[in-house]
Amino acid sequence: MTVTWHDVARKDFEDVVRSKLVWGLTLGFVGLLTFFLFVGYVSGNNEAAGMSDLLSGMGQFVLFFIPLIALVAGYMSVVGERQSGSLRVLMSYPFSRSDVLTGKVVGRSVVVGLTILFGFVVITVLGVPLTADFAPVDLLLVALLTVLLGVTFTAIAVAISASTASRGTALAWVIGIFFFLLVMWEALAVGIYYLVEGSRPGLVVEPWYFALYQLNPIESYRIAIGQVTDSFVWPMVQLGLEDIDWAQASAEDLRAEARVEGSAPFYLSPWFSVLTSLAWIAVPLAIGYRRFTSADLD
Amino acid sequence: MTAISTENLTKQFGDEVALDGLDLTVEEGEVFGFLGPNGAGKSTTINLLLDFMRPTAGRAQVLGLDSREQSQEIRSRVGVLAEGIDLYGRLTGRRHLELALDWADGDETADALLDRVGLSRADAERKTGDYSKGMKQRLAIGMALAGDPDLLILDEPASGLDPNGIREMRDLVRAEADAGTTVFFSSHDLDQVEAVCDRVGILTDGDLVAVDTIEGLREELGARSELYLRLGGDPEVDVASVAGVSATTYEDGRLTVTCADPRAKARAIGHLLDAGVEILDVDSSSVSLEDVFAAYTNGDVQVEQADRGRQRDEQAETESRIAGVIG
Repeated sequence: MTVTWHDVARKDFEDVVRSKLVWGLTLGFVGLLTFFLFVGYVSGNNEAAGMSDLLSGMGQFVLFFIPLIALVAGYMSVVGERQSGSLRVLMSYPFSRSDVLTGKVVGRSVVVGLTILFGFVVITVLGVPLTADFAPVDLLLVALLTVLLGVTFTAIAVAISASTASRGTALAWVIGIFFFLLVMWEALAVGIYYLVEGSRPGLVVEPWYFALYQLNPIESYRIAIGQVTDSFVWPMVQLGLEDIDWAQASAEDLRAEARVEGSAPFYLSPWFSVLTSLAWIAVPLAIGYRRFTSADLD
Repeated sequence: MTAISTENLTKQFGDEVALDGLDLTVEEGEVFGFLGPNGAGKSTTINLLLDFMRPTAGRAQVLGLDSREQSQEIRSRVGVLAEGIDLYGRLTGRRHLELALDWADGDETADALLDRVGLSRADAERKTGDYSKGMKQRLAIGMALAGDPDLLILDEPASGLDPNGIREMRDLVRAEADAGTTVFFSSHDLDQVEAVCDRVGILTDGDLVAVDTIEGLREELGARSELYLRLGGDPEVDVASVAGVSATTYEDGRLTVTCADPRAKARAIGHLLDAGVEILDVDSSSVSLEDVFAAYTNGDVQVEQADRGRQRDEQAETESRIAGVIG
């Protein structure tokens, strides 16, 4: 038995990089990055802005776009082949089901990772002259955290793809998860806080409130980028359920570290987002593996 | 050694029984045709053999290996053309064969496989998304042949092929079998099977209703051939008494001789000639394999109807005899 998940990953990569959808997403992502950088340049208020401000501003946009790209790139990976029948061709050769799943996660992650790195090359090439600030450590850390975010959502998408028998079901799950993590999480966290504390969270909150946010890979990415760039990264979607006077609060006041009394708890460290991501990679894939290995490929 | 053996192999989807306790043995080196109408359970059987699906009950062995526990080893030694497949539309035909050779650990070249399945070098450079169904089928067969498998499992290999392609497909199966490969293929069409199979199994509604050689099946159903003669005058001899003739009918100069034994046709003609009856024209028919297939796959109803038909023939024969006597 000479075949392994490497073979699946290589085949998958070859196949996906020829996909117009993936090229479209990559170009869309890079195009929007470029657009935002130019808007920043034209609007001219970048005199005082350094690279970390730029990265922080990009973060708001990246935390929406990268999960979207990863979910789109991944949700068809297994179920698409299963429904079209090409999975039966692949499975004619001595691959195990876990070879297929691992190969798909790796193959799609490489595609998503390369898209992200390409984006960061653009940020560097355009952003460094714009801000006259190189900040290689910040750039590298943010790039790595972003790749991790991309890989996490690729794994979630592939896991969903392996767990479902039809494209429609996979799409519904992917949209549901994205909506839940991006839009609904605040409602969940505020709801839990209200149930426990009897009041909505204000500007200063019990620290465990942020532990809830750290469980969400998008939110933990947002908090981590804020810490790396020493700034507040605005969420993409804000329901405004917290008891905060938004007109009065400055971005500095809104940072998680500023909203807890005393020193920040351990789960507000940037490395916690790595743990969150690893959990969001491992748990869905474990479920996907169980469902895929026991499935009838009809 | 046996290439495939199943024991009480059963698959249910909810309440629907797709395969009902299949006991099947395919010997190494034979070409086995797995016949049945669409939806009979042929593809389900193949899916179970390859561990694409898991049996509700029973077990299967392929090349002496357990279909569940040793599936990867099985698939490393088996070439597969599965049913309802699709290829990677963004990759070229040649790339597909290269991948197949890589995965199956084959020593052949992609060109050699192209030649065997009748695809040109120019076809191979095109993406399979632009292929016709027949070209895809040829390429998929080429992929199945990669790595010189010990056993070929082909699910409806002729689907999508034109008559020329079907003939080439048959030649290919025969060549593989001559080279020592066991071939197990399914079909809903008898024509494809008849010329190439050593044995056939007929599956209908999840039940294996017959396993035999083609000749054996013909005999089992009571091979029957009919001789139609146009005579210059009334036959004044009793043809029905000729050995092997089961019935005769005569009407308007046309004599129909029903023979239980095909050799009786010549004897019947000889008998008439000896008696000086002038024979103007000769035509004959034998029971076709289609009839055999239909009889099995449509269940007992058809067989009973055939029997009733025979009774009607006998009645008609008697009537015509009487008419002949009166006339």
